[in-house]
Amino acid sequence: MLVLLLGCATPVDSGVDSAACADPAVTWDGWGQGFFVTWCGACHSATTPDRRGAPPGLDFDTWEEVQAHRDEIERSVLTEASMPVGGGLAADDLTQLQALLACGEGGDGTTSTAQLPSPALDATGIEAAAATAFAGGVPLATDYWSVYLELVLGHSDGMCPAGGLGAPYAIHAPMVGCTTEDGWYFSGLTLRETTEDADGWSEWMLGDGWAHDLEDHRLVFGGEIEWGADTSGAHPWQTVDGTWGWEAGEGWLAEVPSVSLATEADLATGVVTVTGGWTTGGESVFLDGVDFAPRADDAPSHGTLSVRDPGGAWYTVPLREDGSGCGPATYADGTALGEVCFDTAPLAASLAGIVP
Amino acid sequence: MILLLFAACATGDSAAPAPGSALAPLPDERLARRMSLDLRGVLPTNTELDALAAGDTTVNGLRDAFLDDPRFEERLVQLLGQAWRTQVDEFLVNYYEYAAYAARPDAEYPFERGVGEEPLRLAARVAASDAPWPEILTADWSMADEWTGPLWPTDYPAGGTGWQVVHYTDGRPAAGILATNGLWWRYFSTVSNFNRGRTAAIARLLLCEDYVARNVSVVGFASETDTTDVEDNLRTNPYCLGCHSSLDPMATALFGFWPANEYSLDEIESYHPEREPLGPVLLDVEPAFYGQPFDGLPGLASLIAQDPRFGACAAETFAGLLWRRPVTLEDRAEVDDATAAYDADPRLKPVLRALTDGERYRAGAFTSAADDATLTREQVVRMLDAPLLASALEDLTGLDWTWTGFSQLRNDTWGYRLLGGGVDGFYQTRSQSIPGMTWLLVERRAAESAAAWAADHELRGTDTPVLFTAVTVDDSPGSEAFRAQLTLLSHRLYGEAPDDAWIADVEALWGATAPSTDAATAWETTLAALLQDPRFTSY
Ligand code: HEC
Repeated sequence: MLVLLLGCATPVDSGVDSAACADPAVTWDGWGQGFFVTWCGACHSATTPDRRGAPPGLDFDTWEEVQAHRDEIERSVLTEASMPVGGGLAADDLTQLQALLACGEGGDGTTSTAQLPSPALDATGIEAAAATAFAGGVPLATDYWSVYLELVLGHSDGMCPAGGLGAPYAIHAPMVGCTTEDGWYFSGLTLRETTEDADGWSEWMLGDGWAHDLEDHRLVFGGEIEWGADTSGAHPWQTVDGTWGWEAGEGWLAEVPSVSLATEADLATGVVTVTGGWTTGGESVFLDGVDFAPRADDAPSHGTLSVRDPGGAWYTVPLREDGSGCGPATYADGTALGEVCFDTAPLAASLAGIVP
Repeated sequence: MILLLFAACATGDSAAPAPGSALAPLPDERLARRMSLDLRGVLPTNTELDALAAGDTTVNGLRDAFLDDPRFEERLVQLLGQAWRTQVDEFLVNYYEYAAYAARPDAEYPFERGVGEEPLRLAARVAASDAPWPEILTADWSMADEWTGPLWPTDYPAGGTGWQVVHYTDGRPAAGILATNGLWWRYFSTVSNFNRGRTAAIARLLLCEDYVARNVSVVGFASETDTTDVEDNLRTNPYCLGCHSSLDPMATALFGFWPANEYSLDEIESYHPEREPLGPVLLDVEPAFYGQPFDGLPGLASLIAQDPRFGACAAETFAGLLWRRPVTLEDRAEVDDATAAYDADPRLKPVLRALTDGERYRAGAFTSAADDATLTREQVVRMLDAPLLASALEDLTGLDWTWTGFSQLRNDTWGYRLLGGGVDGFYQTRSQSIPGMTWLLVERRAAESAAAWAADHELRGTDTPVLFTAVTVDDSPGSEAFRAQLTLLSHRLYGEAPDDAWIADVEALWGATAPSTDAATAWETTLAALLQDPRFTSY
């Protein structure tokens, strides 16, 4: 007992009972920092992007800060159990916290900073990466659908894949796969649904599978695609999520890209807004509300275009409103890389079919 | 009966306990045996034990050699598999969805382990090569074998076999195990779960923070719920925020692994770089790790790697694995020692050295000072579970117990892993600590098979003997050779010197079998019995 009391680093001057001292002592470095980071850091830290209403300046990033607010912490956590928000502390945590507050030992803790790979591309490199990704045009659900229809109708023998494309427009091949009379191989399924309601109409297809022809070209259906329009027909839209493509096809289809993308058109103005991204030819782009006017073949004049660095972080380019297709590029760590200009003609061309 | 035998072991021969301690350490030879099983998955050899007895090495000398043994890496895969629980027998997609395996039922087991062991093998490679442990979060490489490497977007060499270092070619960032298919096939999140489940797995495996185990009041939740919009609740309701204020900002980092259809092979085997920016949008939060902002998966991985909880969690995880029991607050001092070893030298071997130096690891019996809590908590006798039995018997006799491609003691689809006390990764998350009926049956069958295998190959066949090195089929009880063989077996199987009574018993058993059969069969019967001795099946 004597040893335990001697072990107390700070004299006990609050209501926290000295009997709570533990052997070995509970330290900031060994336990305290981890506890406060885990349970409080999301709201009570100087760096958090969202305090969720936690009082400004009431942070527990260091042992000094915790000591400065010892009484409040003791009251809110140990006495009133009003913190952490939502509760959830285990009895062991409360025991340890009590020991830390009563007679815990300090320490410097550790400070850490998120690391980011340094940027691998310059302005020209960013333009080149985007050009690769743009080459096949914007992945559109309707592009895929027409190819899919042709290939499945052209090769299904009724037994493989089963279901055909009659209502409800689903095909089903066993997950172990089946081979059609003409030698195509199908595995997996698609489901399809047509909806018409007060908001308009839509066609939806879910895919979980793939097929290949005699030369091993793959037709891939993995994810969901959907397209439709409002009741007036003036605002056609499409979404593509997943991996879709046909290796022997044209444009973006041949790349079998990974996609997560939505397009929305306004036929009156002829503007198509694209939000989302895709990966083709090893390059990834992400468009945030980028407006195209394919009818006028204008370069986009609104929105943000991002290009991915091979290391995994992104370059962001807010497009100038002057229709130049240019803007200042910034790397994720804030490094400015100067003016970047995109050749978006292949994108505009691929969208032209949407706005006749 | 078995229970009694185990209990008897617990109070048996032991080295002198520290004064006043509730735990007495195992004698050196038994301790070396425990270390060899824990760190290599095999029994120590007679040569190693002889060196120990002769004073040519120490227990710690052997321990350090075990840590440098090539089998350490494989053993780590099995050990860590119990904590990370990725050696499961089922994933969202099945082996037969790959055309290459569609007509190959024998591909099921190796394919499933090929998937599930990817993160384990990455970590084991880092540890075995003595690289800094944080490399499991920063490596730009992974591991694949011939069952997954050629099918997934990796640079696995054409025509290659076995586990090899590979690089993914789908643009995924360098983030060690956090960028492996294996981890995320095991810990998938549904499309609408937005990677939160996976984030909880990161916190549990790497920080030892178990969100699911949090003691959150659901009663309060009901009254606080003023809207039916779940996503909205997660951002405003205090009962949700308790977890989601830290969980969601972390989950933003994983959207490259967010499939549009979690059953589609193309979707789940490849990374999707273009979806990375969706995290903050869909979760409606800025990326942060417990309040610290980051950018992308490498950013998150770097923060975890620097976090003090990461090293402490490695210490706690391996303490639980080596002690074969949950770690509690009472264990703090020993876990702190292991954490300190990590802080001084952030590699895994120093952590394992610190843990295997500890009193809890070395305990082989209770002393009269043990109170009820200690008696309940400590696991002074450990049981060979099915996978450990498999590797020990393989090494001892050469038996690789496999049926149509399924390793019989390492899976449950067609095998006895669970029945034999192992971890299946879904329902059983800690290996069994006391013997049960099914364990007994599995152990018996394995002992019989291993004995038959050894007799077939070494006594009936012409293989170079590895077990029956001192006798031939012409030797009989009472001879010097017979006694020498039994002495070797006693050390090798039990880590103990034989006494005369035991030798007489074994000779009697052999002598009762031989007349009606032959010497090889008598040895087979005898070995099967020796392998069912609790001194063999415990450690
Ligand atoms: C989800 C966000 C969140 C988390 C996590 C959280 N807090 Fe708070 N905290 C708040 C908010 C919001 C307030 C202001 C509450 C109020 O004014 O009623 C607050 C106020 C406080 C206060 C001052 C008010 C008082 O009760 O004295 C203390 C002290 C405090 N928190 C401690 C903690 C500690 C310690 C933890 C971790 C164990 C923690 N909080 C975790 C959001 C949080």
